[in-house]
Amino acid sequence: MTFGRSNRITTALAAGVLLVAAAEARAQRPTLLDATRSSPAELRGADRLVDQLIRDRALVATSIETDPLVSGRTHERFEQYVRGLRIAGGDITRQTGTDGTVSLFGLLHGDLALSLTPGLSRDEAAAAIARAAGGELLGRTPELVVLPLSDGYHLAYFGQATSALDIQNVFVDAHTGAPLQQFSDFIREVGHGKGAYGDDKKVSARSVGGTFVTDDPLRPAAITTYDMRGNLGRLTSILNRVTPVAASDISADTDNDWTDATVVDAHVYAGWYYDFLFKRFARRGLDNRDLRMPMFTHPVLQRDIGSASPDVIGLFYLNAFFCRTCLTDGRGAMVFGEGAPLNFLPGIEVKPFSAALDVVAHELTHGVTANSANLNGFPFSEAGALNEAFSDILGAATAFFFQPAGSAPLNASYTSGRDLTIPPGRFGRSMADPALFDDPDHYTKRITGADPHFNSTIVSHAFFLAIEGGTNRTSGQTVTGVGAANRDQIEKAFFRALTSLLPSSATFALTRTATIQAAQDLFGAGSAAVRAITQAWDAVGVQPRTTPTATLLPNPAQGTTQPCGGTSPSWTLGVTVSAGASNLRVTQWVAELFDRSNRVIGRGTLNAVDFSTFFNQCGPGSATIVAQADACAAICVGLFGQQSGSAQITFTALDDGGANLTFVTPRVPLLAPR
Amino acid sequence: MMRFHPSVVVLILLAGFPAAARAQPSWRDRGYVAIGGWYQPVGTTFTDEVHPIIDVEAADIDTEYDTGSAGGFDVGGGVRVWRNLAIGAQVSRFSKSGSASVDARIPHPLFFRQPRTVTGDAGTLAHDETAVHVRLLWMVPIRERLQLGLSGGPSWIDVKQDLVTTVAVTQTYPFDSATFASATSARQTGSHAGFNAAADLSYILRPHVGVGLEVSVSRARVPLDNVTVDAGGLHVGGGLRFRF
Repeated sequence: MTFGRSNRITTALAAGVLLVAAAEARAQRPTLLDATRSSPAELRGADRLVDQLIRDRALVATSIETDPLVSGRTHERFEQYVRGLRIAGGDITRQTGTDGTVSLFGLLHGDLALSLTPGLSRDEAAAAIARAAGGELLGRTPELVVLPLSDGYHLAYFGQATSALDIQNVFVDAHTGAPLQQFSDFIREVGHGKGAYGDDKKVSARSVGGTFVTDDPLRPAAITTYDMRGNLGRLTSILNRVTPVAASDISADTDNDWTDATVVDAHVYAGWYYDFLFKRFARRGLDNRDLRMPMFTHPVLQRDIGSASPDVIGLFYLNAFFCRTCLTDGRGAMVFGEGAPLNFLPGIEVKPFSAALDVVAHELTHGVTANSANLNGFPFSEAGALNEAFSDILGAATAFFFQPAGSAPLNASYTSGRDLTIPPGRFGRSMADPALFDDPDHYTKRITGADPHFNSTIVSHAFFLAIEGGTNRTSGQTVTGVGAANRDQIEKAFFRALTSLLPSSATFALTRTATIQAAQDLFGAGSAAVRAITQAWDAVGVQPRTTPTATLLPNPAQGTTQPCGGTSPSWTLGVTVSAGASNLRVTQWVAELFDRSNRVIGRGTLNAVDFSTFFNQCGPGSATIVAQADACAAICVGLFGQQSGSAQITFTALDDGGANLTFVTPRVPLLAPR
Repeated sequence: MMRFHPSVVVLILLAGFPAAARAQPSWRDRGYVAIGGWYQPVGTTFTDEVHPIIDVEAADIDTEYDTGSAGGFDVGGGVRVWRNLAIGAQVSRFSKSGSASVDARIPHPLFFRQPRTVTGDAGTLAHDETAVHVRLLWMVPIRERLQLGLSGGPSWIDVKQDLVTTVAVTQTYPFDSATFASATSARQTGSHAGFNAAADLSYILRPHVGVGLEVSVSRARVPLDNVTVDAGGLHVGGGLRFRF
């Protein structure tokens, strides 16, 4: 029985036209079995058919396994037979749960109009197989099978034969002995592919029935790269744990010479990242227990970018991301945006986001973080910035581990994501000089409540300084780095802090302490690494938070002609109040405005209630600030029509001991509008 | 590797012929047959280099072969064509399993240009030589029963040699090192012309039967697929000698 024309078994079943099915048996085409709970009627029909074929012994179970990841699930695998002969490659799978069948996948072949009487004896077939492989027959005598090929069904003998160091699977025509199909039996297969920059890479792919798939057989962790072929709906369903990934989602190539650079880069770089963790830190993958690493590519098609919504462009074209709880097992996944053609953004070509090793490593580091420090507290907390910082840090570290240092593509640098664009570095963050991309290089320049990527450069700049040394542009403090040759010391200290020492609510200050402690653990209290890391944190202004501080940014602030409170020009300022070792209860804050001659031209005194009202930008508005925590506000000020001046805010608070503390922001110049 | 220059052998022969011819009586047998065995004290050594593709990258496998000393047998004969001059032929053969040491750079399965060096013994590799020597022989009867045959001429030597084609290694993740596991070889065959020269001292025990000692040298540079093997060598041997 076959259901050929529709290639969707349940389409035929739903039509209820068994006569059509019988008539189409002569077509001898396989029928796709692709049924999940997303289409319950389709799944029920397919399941009934499979049960019938099992009763008819047209399907014979070859394995039944309990699902190691999902409780209560069982996976069955069946081989198809036609009049007693196995159909090569005709296996199907059925996943069942306690509440019935979950999915069915495979190809169903009908009763074939094919003579099953061979012309060759088994001995003659054995000789033909050995001849085809150029070696000797291995094991049992050849098996008579039905072999589906692109031109139809063939009666064939199948056998294995040795050939040099290889074992070949050989199908020969059962009448003539001519080779029909031949492929290596080695499960470990190394293919070749070119990356986005035309570079040659070795692709660790698995051989499955003569086709190669990006399922890494060489590394202990399951690194699998999927090609969603622009099917964003399916990807979303998979990420959202509605639909499980299928074998057909895995990128495939017929000759193991891979031409899809996006897939090649994602798969190879994921493998390199695993290698980096293993070789540098003796860590076994994302969770140190070889957690699988699913990499999703081609979530959308670049040619569709013109009609894509801004949300889709922002997430699936011009971004890459790690999802901590995605997929049906809830263990996370990485998705790499498709990039954008030249001039979609003026003058810029955006490569697929797997094109940059440091970006791939960045996303995978989120997986490490999720399985260690789990810095995923309040998104705009310092933990969020630390999460991004560690990803940039280990992204760069991975690049330096595998690539030569330099500024050309495929060279390691401290500019994150430099290889994503042509011209290079348009999406970058500079760890060496964050100000190049208007990112902060000093703790006083942080904007609490901002995008965590923004504040992350304070930490990654400290990492850079600890290795390379140099002078922080804001503080002017100079750091003696350990030198590039000893970069592993700093990498190990930061990695140890991330994976072993930091809690999920970590702050910059706590990270300072943890990295120094880690360096002490690894290299001794008086080591160069301890010195360099300590100097680096000093240089970027991250100190143990013992006393309260307040900042006012930007410094200086550029005015705009936009009115604020009825006056123009105006200045928008971010204010951050940071508690030290003690909790604070803010009692009063006084904002002062100065003219160009530093004369006070305005003063506003506000109380605790006002503080609660204004300071709700990075947490719940409250006059109480917990130790080590921040409160922040965005305010606008005007100078009563004057074009420039300065501003300063003084805070008064009580600490846990009842002491009255006063602390002041820097006086920030307010520059005239341009 | 032994090297003989053909001119050296020719000079030796030319130096010996006239004096012996003048001093001794002429040789009256119609021809001769010689059957015997020989020993080659110094074997042939040569180096081969192959570059099989392993993990989509060319490996670099250097193999040093040494056939070692060997023994063989030969049979030959000839007819006198003028005075003490005979023309004849000899077939010589030996088969030997020699060793080979492998020094290889095996590609890393995950990275280009990060080969791992492995060394090992390829095990026993067969080396067969079959030589056909055409000989122009000048027989010098030294005494009544003692004859010295000086001969030389072209040779055709056929070589069958097992050559290492690739190696297998044992390796585990992260594959940064590997150890030699085994070598795979393939039989290659080649033939080429060369030369031979010999001095045979025979003692005739009975009217038609005697024993002899022979020192010979032969050489041919036989090309195989990607290596040239110096076949032949210095042989010292002996056996039965027949006159008719």
